[in-house]
Amino acid sequence: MSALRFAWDEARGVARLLADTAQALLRARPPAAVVWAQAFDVGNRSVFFILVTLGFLGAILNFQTGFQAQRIFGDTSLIGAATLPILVRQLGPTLVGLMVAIRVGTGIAAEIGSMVVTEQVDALRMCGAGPVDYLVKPRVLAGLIAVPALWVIGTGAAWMAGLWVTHLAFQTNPATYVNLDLTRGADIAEGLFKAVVFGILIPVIAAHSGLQARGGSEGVGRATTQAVVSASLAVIVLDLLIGAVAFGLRGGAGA
Amino acid sequence: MIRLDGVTLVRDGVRLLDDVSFSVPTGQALALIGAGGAGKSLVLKLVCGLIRADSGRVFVDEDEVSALDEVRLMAVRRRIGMVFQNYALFDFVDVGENVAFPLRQWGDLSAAEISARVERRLSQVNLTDATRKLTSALSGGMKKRVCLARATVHDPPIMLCDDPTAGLDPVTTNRIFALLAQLRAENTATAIIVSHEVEALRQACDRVVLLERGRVAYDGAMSDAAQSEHTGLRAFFEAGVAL
Repeated sequence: MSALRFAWDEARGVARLLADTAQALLRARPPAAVVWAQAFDVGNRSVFFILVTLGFLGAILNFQTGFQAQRIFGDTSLIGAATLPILVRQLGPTLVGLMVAIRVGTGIAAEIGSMVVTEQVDALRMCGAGPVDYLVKPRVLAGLIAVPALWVIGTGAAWMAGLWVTHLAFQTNPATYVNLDLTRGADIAEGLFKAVVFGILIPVIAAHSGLQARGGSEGVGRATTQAVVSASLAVIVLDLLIGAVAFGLRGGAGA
Repeated sequence: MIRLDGVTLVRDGVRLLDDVSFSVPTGQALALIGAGGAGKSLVLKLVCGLIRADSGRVFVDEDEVSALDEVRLMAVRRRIGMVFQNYALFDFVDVGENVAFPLRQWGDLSAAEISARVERRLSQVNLTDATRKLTSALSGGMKKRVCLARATVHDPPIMLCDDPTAGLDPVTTNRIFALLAQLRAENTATAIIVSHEVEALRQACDRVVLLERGRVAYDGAMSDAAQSEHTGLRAFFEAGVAL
């Protein structure tokens, strides 16, 4: 019961911070240089991690799909065509979201948390810089730019790793593997929408955890753990919800 | 003018401040004294709206700080310079940018004017050579002086100083209090100074408020405080003189 209460309080806190950030964005935009620097930081911090994890997961997905296809149909020619929409709308944004939550969310929570416990956030407020304007807003815009870019990179890496592994394991012709026939505009729209939502929410959740930090270094540690747990859960839950809504909007699997 | 009317602050069931009322007329300096944990720092944070009271009202001039939202509080905070107990210096910029920070945020001075003001303030606190240093490379006394420079660079008419000489040697302590007096004189600033330096407070302040377990135990003129029969106040002053 207390876990439910905690989750509810967290969700309310994040929703309030999200609304404050939206209001702050309407009041004034942060300097472009600050946003680009943050976006570069988010991208740079995550790109290698994402290339490696999504590369391996793409290889595993294609290998297992090929293995089953060969066993059931004796034909692996449609592996690339079948796995691309799954990667684009489902695994790509979700895994990128999880990696960004781990790699970037923890960084944001630790940075803001340590600023809270050393009273730097109070000092910011005394100097006319609200924490939402100065700390949250640029990071949200950076996430909005970087996560969709990482989704493209990660999905591409996973699919290309699949090409390599299916060629090695099943001698699938690369020209046959590169088949876009089963990938629809709706798949791309769903994947992009998820990446945008995660790009906004992960920095907000991480910043919320950081701003809740109390005490000393122990409080910062708790905030960091809280950030990665909450952001990862949010990615998984929203992935299912957005997927279900998109499925309904498309009118089922056939569309 | 700063005024607290019946302010009570409760956290986790503990009354940290209990019906605290006092005022500081414009241009006066108030010494806020008391044992550790008496609630002195909380009073300063209430005055600038960094925390909210559970009941009671806090005024800065005509503005009721306790009733303002964060956007309106910004205008009040612009009139306040706050020296934090644990420095609260920004570790992501150097000393010069720390001092320039409030001026850049308020945004009504040119880059040249900001640079001139920062240079002047840093020379007043004898830190001209440290302009490009990161705050992590400074000693405690230097950090306090940077904090004082940042708090006063915009010439605020109200100064809140939370233990500005904590942990410093006597020479640096005297220098910090001399600086405070000079900066106050320049702006005829209203001030609340939290400190355990009894002699320095006697010189610097017009009035004294003693907090005991979150309640005002004494409120009177500094000139009368030394002769007061109040036990807590006598103990504080005698211990301070003995030190």
